[in-house]
Amino acid sequence: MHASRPGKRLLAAVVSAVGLLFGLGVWQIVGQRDPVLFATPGRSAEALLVLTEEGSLPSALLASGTLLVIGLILAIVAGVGFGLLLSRAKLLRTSTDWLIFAAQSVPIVALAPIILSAFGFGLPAKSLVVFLTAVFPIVVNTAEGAHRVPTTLLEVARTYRSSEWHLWKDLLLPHTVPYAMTGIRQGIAMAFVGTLAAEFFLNASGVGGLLLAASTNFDSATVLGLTLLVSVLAVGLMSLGRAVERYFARWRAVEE
Amino acid sequence: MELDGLTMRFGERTVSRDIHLTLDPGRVLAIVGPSGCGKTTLLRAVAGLIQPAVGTVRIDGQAVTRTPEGVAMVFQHFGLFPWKTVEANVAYALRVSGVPKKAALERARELIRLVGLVGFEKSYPHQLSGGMQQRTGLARALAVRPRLLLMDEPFGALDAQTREVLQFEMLRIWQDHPVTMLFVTHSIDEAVLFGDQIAVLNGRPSGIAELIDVSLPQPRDRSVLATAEFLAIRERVWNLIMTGQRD
Repeated sequence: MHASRPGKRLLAAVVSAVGLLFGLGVWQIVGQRDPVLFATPGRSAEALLVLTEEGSLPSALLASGTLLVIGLILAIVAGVGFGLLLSRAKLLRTSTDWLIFAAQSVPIVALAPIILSAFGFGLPAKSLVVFLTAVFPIVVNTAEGAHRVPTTLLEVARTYRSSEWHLWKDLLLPHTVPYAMTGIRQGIAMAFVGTLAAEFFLNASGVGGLLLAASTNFDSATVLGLTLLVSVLAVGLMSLGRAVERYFARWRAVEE
Repeated sequence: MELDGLTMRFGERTVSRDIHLTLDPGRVLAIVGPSGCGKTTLLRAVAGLIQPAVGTVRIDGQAVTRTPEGVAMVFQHFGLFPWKTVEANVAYALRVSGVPKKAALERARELIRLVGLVGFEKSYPHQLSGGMQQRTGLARALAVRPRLLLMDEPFGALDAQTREVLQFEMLRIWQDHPVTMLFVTHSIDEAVLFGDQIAVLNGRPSGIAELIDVSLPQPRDRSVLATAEFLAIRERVWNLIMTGQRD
């Protein structure tokens, strides 16, 4: 298995490169046929360059980045914390299970305007939207991991008269972290959606604001360019999350 | 250790009824019986992991409500922490009881040498064979110098060959480091090989069919398997278990 891994990685890289080129090719063809709805990749890149030169893109990225990071950090802290708490408090878990699943199925994006108007359209209100979109996968995955702590290991801890502190340090945390990281990765993807949604309404700002403005002007070059830029950033951040997840799960027998 | 009139229940079902057993320091008591006869349940009651429906478990005169100090258990499925290396798994037993890291690691290495795992200190459990994992489990249990060692089908999850190798290895270790042992197994050979005394469980709910003294000389090794006395006891235990199965 170990011998073939670099080979597999290379193959995966080649396949994704081919896919990317194919996608760009299709985009180019469609763009040439219908230049109004679909700007070509070249024109999209140009549009991004213009935005960068006039300074609106860097400042938008900074604003959106701040919002994303604040919301995401809050979601990670609260999500992991609450998820872990659920593992040790059976009553809390059974009584809030349905609530979490109910909350998770609510499209936060649709509620964004209400949340924003209730909390004042500023950074706090927008961070709340990001927080709410990102927090649920983190809670659910963390709680799932904490819930699946093997009973044998709990018994091992009991027979060695483990203190609560050692129980967390030696068993609950190491077991749960990989699950939490899976949740955080999903949370990162959701946070991007939440950030753009939070920026769309009333006092549009950041990358979401630029997107909205370009979209209203039928400026497809900017819209496509920005969309792609956001995707690239999201993929980058998620790869980072995956790397952290791998690190914490290095004791696992099989890597995907 | 003393089991005083233990009745174990799983919900409504009575698993075993009115079990009386004593184990004196330095001796080995093997509990043998068909699977599902509740022998592991008895062991778990001694470990304080479950409470008997009726009766009391006493260790050194103290009623057991949680695992007492100095009681260590070897688990059938090893019970190793997959995120800890061999050395950290062994040291864990000492770390939780407050031994400083350096001293715990030193003692862990000693035990790793004893069970023949030198060179695998930094390996993770998934990188080891079942036999090596159970060697680690054994080292962990012995690390605390237990006054009572509870063996829960310790070789039951291993293949036949590894099982035999580990049995004789364990006999050797036990000779050098004798420890009071309660040994639960469904292997009759294992019970006769390790036990100073064998409690044979049968029936549903199970009870002690007979308490057999094993007067095979110590130290024991592979050669006892061929002795007339070994075979005679083996036959007797077999018959007892089979009688229980028929009804």
